[in-house]
Order: sequence, then C-alpha cells, then structure tokens
Amino acid sequence: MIEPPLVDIRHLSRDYASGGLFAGRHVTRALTDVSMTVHRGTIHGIVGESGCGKSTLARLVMALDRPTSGSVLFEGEDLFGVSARELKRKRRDFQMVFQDPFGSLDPRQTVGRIVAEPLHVLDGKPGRAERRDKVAAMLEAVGLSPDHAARYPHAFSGGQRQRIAIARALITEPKLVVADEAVSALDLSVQAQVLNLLMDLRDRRGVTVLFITHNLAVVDAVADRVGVMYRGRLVESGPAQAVFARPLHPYTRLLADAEPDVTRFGRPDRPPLSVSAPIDVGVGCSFRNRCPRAVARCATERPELRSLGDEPDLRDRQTACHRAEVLLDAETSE
Amino acid sequence: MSAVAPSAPPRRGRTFAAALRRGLAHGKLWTGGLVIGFIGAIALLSLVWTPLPPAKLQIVQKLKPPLAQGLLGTDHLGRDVASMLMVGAWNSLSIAVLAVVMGALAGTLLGVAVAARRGWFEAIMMRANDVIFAVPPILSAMMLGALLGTGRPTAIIAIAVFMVPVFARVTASAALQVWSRDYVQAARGAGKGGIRITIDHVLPNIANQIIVQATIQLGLAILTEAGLSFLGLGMAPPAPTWGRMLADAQTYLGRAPWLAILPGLAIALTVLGFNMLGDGLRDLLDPRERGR
Amino acid sequence: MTQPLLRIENLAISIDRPDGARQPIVTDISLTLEAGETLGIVGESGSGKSLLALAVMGLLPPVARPTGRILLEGRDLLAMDDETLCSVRGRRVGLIFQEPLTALNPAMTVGDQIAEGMVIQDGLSWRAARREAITLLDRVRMPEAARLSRSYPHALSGGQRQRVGIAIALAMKPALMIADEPTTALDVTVQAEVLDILDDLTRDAGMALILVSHDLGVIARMCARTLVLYAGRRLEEGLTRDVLTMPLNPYTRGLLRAVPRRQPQDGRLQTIPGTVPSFAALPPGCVFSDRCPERIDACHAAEPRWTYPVPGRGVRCIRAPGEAMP
Repeated sequence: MIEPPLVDIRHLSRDYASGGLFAGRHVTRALTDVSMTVHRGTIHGIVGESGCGKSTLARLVMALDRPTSGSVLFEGEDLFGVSARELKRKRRDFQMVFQDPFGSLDPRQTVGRIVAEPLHVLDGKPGRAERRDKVAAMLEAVGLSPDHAARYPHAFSGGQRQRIAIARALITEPKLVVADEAVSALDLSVQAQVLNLLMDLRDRRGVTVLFITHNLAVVDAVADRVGVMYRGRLVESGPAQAVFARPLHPYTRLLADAEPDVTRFGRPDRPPLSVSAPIDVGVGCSFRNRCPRAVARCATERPELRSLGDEPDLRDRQTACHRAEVLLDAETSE
Repeated sequence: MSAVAPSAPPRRGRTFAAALRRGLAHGKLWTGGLVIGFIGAIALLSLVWTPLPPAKLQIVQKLKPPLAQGLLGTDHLGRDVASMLMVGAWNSLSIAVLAVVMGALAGTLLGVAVAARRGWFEAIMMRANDVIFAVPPILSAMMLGALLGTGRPTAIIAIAVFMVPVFARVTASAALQVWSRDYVQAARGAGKGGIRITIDHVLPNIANQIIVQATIQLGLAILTEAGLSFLGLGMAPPAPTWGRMLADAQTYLGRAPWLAILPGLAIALTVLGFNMLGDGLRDLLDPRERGR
Repeated sequence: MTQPLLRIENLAISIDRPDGARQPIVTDISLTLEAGETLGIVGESGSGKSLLALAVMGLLPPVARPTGRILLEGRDLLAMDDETLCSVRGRRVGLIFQEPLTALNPAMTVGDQIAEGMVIQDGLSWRAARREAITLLDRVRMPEAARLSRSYPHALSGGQRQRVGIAIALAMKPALMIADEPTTALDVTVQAEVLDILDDLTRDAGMALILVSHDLGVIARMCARTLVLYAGRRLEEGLTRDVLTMPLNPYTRGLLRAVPRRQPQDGRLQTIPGTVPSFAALPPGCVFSDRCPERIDACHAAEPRWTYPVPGRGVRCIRAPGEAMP
C-alpha cells in the first residue's frame, strides 16, 4: 500500500492517577505503547474485554483526552501537536458513535438539532435552510425519515436512536468514524441493521470506521482488519478473516473459544477455564497466568509485537507471543 | 436501505406508581400554588390598597382583639394588624424573591463554571463556598448592616450571599452529571467549548433542578428575613415586617396573644406553601420520571 | 401421580396504565418444567420475558394483574399470600440478577450476605453459616474464598460479584433457579466461567434452571429446551437443538439469520426489517405479521393458535406444519 494510512497511532500510552487522601497516589497504565495504522475505506476492528484499554484508545483517537506519551497522526499530522484552533478545524474529519443510544442524545434537543450539532465547527457555517437540507439528507441516508427531525429522542427505539447518532457522526462528512461498542446495546434484529448500515457507509461514502467492541462475532462480520487488545497492549493484529480463522495469540484463541455460538450445543469440550492467580504485569507477558502454553521465558521477557514470516497467509499479521510458532504448528496439525 | 417506521418505545413498569406519584405531586403543587398565590395577591394588593394606612397610630384603640377593631385587631400602638400583615407580606416576599433570584443567578453561574473547569478552580471555589456557608446570615447581616446601615438592600444582600453556596453546590453536582453523559462527549467531539456546551446542553438539562431548589430556598429566605427583622437587622421601622411584628408582640404575649400568633401563622403558611410547591415541582419535573 | 416441579397454565399478565386502562403484556403462556431440567427463554427487549420471569419468582409489581396458574410443586404462586410466597421464594426458588451489584448490600461483607439466609431460614448459628458461606464460595469457584468472603461488594470484580449472587441463591438449596440475563454485563471469558458454574450446579445438584437471555449462543450452551417469546406471546418451543437448527417459526428463523457472522464477499447480514412493536400498537392477527417475510393475507386475520406439529414441539404460526395427532 503506497497511500499513507488515515490514522497512524505511534507508541501511545496513557496513565491514570487514582487514590489520594489515604491510599496514596497510584498510577494505572490504561494503555501501553500501542502502535497501529488504520487505512482509508476500511472497517478496523478493536476487540478486547473490559479494562483492556480499548475505550481509552477511542478517546485518544478522538482527541477527547491527551496521551501520557506517544502520538496520533491523522492524515500525517499529530493531533496533539497542533494548536487548539487547528484541532477544532480538524474535528470535522473524525466523529464518534457511542455505546448507549439513550445517553448519547440530549433529551432536551430535537433530533434535527442533535444531528446538526457538529456542523457548527465548519468554517463557513451553513445557513438555516442548508442545515435543514443536510439534516434531512443525513436522516434519509441512515434509514430514517426527514420529518423525524422535529421530534425528541424519547420518541425513538434504541436502534433508531443509534441511527440518529450515526447521522450526527456523518453530517460533517468525516473521514473517520470511531464507533465504541456502537451495537452492543441493541437487540439482535436491530444490531444487524446497524452493522449493514456501517458497511454501506464504508462502501458508498468511503468512510473509515474504527470499530471497538468486546464481541468477536460482530467484528468478524464487519471488519476488514482487527487488533486484539489485552491489559492495555495490542497482542495481535491482522486481516480479520485470517485472525479469526487461525489466531496467532493464545488470548485470541481463548476469546474465540469462550464466545457462545448458536451452532455449539451443550458444554464445550474444553477444559474448564481456570481462575487466574494475580501476577506482576510489570515484567514478562501479562497474559502468562491464563495462558495454557506459557513457559519460563514468558515470565521474564516481554513479548513484542512481531511478524511471523512472509508466507502469504502470515503476511500483514503480527502477534505479541513468544510461543506463536508453537501455536501455529499446533493449529496447522489440528 | 429501507426506511424504518417510527414506533414509540415500549414503556413498562413505572405506570401505577408513577400515576399515584403524579396525583400526589399535583395535590401538593395545587395546595402550595394556591397558598403562595393567595399571599402573593395580598402582597400586591397592599401596594394599592390596605384597610388603613399601616403606620396610622390610634393609641386609644390599642391592643384590641380581632374583629373588635378592624378585621384582625390592633397592636400596642393601635395600628391595624391586618394592614400591617398585608404590607409585611409585600416586604417579606419581595426581599425573599430578590435575594433568591440574586443568589440563584450567582450560584448557578459559579456551579456551571466549576463543572466546566474542574481541577484547581473547582477546589478553590468549593472551599470558598464552604467558608461562606459556615457564616450564619444573621452574622453577615450584622456586618453588612454596620457597613451599609440596615434596610432592604442589606437584608437582600445578606440573604443572597447565604443562598449562593447552596445553589453553587446543587448546580455543580447536577452539571457534573450532565458533563459525564455521552451527548456532552459528542459535543466535545464536535469541537464545542465549555461555554457552548454549558449553554446548549448543561443549562437546559439542569433547569428543572434549579427551579425546584429556588422554590424551596424561597421558604428558607422568608424564614431568614423574618429572623433578621425580628433582631432589628431587616428593614428600618416604621416599615412593618412579619419578623418585627413578632418581636413587638413579645411584651404583650399574655394580654394580646394574637399579635404573635397572626404574623407567626403568616410566616408558617408561606414557608409551608413554598415547600409544598417545591416538593410538588420536584416530583413533577424529576428527570427520573420522564423516561431516560 | 408425579407432580412436575413447575407448571404454568394459561398465564396472562396485564399492566395498569396511568390512564386506568389495562394493557395486556404476556398472553397465553403454558409450560411445564421437571426437576433438573433447563429451559431457556429467548426474546428481544419488549418481549415480556422479564415480566414472565418475575411472575415465576412471585415478584410481580403491584401494577401487574396476572391470571391463570403458576404451580410450583403443586402450589399456586398466584393464589398465595405474601408470607407464604416469601418463604417459597427463599427456599424453593433462587434468583440470579443481571447486575448483582444492585442486589447486594454495599455495607455488609459478602460472606455475611450469603450466611444471612441460612441464619434466618435454617436457624444456623452465624459461625456455622459463615463457614458454610465459604464452602459455597468455593463451589462457585471463587478464588481465595475464605479471604474474599470478608470483603465488601465494591471490592470485587463483576464476575466475582455474580459468583456471590449465585452463592446467595444457592445457600437455600433451591429446587429451581431463575437467572435473568445473568451474564449480559460480563466479559466473554468471565461469562464462560459463570455458565460453567451454573451448568455444574444443575448437573450435580439436580436443580432446575430457567435462563432468560437475548443471546441465542448462551441458550444453546446452557439449555435443553427453549421457549421463544415475541410481544408477550410464545412463538415457538422445543428442544434447543431442534429449535435452533430447524426453526418452525419465521421469527426464530429471522433471529438466527441475524446472528452476526462473516458473510461471503463482504455480503450484508440478514435482518428482520422494522422494530419490535410496542404493546399498545400490535399489528392485527399474528403479532409478528408486520415484520414477517413469509406473511400471507390470512396472517392478519386472526392470531394463530398454539399448535403441536411434533410431540414436544410447539409453534404459533399458521404456515407451520399442521398439528400432529396426539
């Protein structure tokens, strides 16, 4: 790929300080040295469980928060190196869709006003009539009707509200949409509608989506590429289809096995998941206490993200596991 | 892409209890509203008409019980109690309303600013609040009185200063909740600054809570005003106030108890009215009642 | 004659609306559950599944008006006074909630919360009950059970809290456990652990389980039988494997097709058009007729009857195969 990536995340870390009066100051590392690139016109999935840092990553890419170290390059420009005015101007190019379709729309504003909100950063602020036309067009694009603009959010169901949130995110014709658990709160039948909408937007408008979720099946259904996160680190990345067909990190494997599936009935024939003992995550691999393939090296040396070779099905893939080759052999022989 | 037909989200669960609560709220709202409306009307009426000029002395007719002389009798100087109560209503209400409006404006401004800025600004402002809150309004009125002399402005400012921390606290906590909502994050993501977000999202979503708080604070302001004038820190004589009528009545408690009972009742009724109104408003406007 | 553990007969529940009218929510539910059986109740939001679960727990809110019978070990829950109901709920039926934090007392150690029921209901001493609580925490695979039994709910992770919730329900050795979306708030790996625990309990203790969930995968993992609810009606019932591999009702088929999975060549996911209707605005005839891809005119005419095309398999759809001779 010669075209530079839309988003280039470089060595991003974020610490949160907590505690205070009695506990003493305590620093938690929510995100540790994460690097990845997101290419134009793709849906880039990020999966991981709660506390893995995926929402912190979303906030940093949206420049809603500042990193402790590292940078986010958007079209080659560092979001945290530009002036406040410049950042404000750039905001039209990246927008966000939130998880809770009930909390993300101001209950006291009409749908029309909600959808039009991001327009106010545009340079030549569009006039009233133009705003109304844009809102109407956007509502139609997400499968709602233009006359819904006069109503208030409480008149809509969860799926419809999420469409409103997507319309708001798209009205400035952004290049990137960050969707943080955007379909997790929706019913199954509605979830599929919203996922299809995201794929349509990618194909018809060339929108790039950073799609953050805990649900592997959802990522597998829509994402072109995927990154798997565990305890603030990226542990595996690659084309979604390849990653889920043949994981190169034991954690990805664990996630895939743990996810319930409508075609697997009764108790799965895997050993019961073990309760993990706490470990010092400062050294070695932070997954070692839950890993069935851990060896002594995993406790002393931190595995860095690396490629496994240049074979066609391994190209473009990375994993942070010392034992990836063993895992790969085992998978192949199975 | 198929158009999705609009449909109302299912509403379940909070039906009967909500209806009952709404009924009660309306009861309180109506009673409180009627009481306050009645007293407010009397206060306004006193501006154009009273049975007798409230300052008119008729020493011969002093300490007459209700109905013996005028509707509600006379005091130790033979002044008409009904007329004094009417003018007292105007004095008390106008001071209370002005003080609460001033306190609410300043407090709300401070509260939303604290919520928008956080950090050291929040720490300093909230501690300053605590300090003001710790000084009783009587004390600040005495200090202000020494500076400005007693009178209506002193009473208003003393009570308003006392109101600021209350409103600042209520507003700040409500505003902080709004700031944690995703729609505010969305607005930030859209490039809106703190002031815009406060105007567009925070104030409309906390207006109800401020109104409810203001109503309840009005009751407290009436009480405080009565206390100030009871101690002679309120409006200067001869302007009649409920507090001073109570103070004057002390000497004659045995001979003319109605002189204490009548202004006492007026104060109690007004405070009760504002409290019921505030309670009713709260139940009616409670954001938890109106679907998320 | 042997009594089934639970038998629901013609249960219907309506809700008093603020304007005084009654809004029917759950309609025409009948089912039986034997000891040790596992039943999954599947439905989207607004399907009435939670209200049904509350009814079986005897926890209906005062605005709900149930008719019909809910027989637990032969005794009708709907005809009981509050006191009897309370003892049945504690001793025979255990409850597991979606978010255990709201069901736990923040100011009491989790060990004491587990022990409390045994002290009050079984008359155990606190010392014995606390020991028993640690055993129960061990059974739900709580790490360091003895130490964590002395901690407060806020100090525990979501998965640990749900284990405490299960231990509290287990303390009364219930014959029936009702779990309403017990793993929805949990991470997938933690969900798998909690499901394993529940599975062990039904297997080893012979406890019956009703699991309410919107997740077909969880139902497939846990439940031998499945009941599909939509707009307060049962649309399909049968062995889980049969229901999920050979669905008879178009709604079940639609749900299964909408489960997200990779599509060939970037294809789109299949969907059920529209949204779940509100109870006040149900379409005429079959409740699913306005969204059903297979509807015919007759679907709008009248609500289809509940039929048994195969023994042990029920369906509500006029286009499903005809009734088997009993």
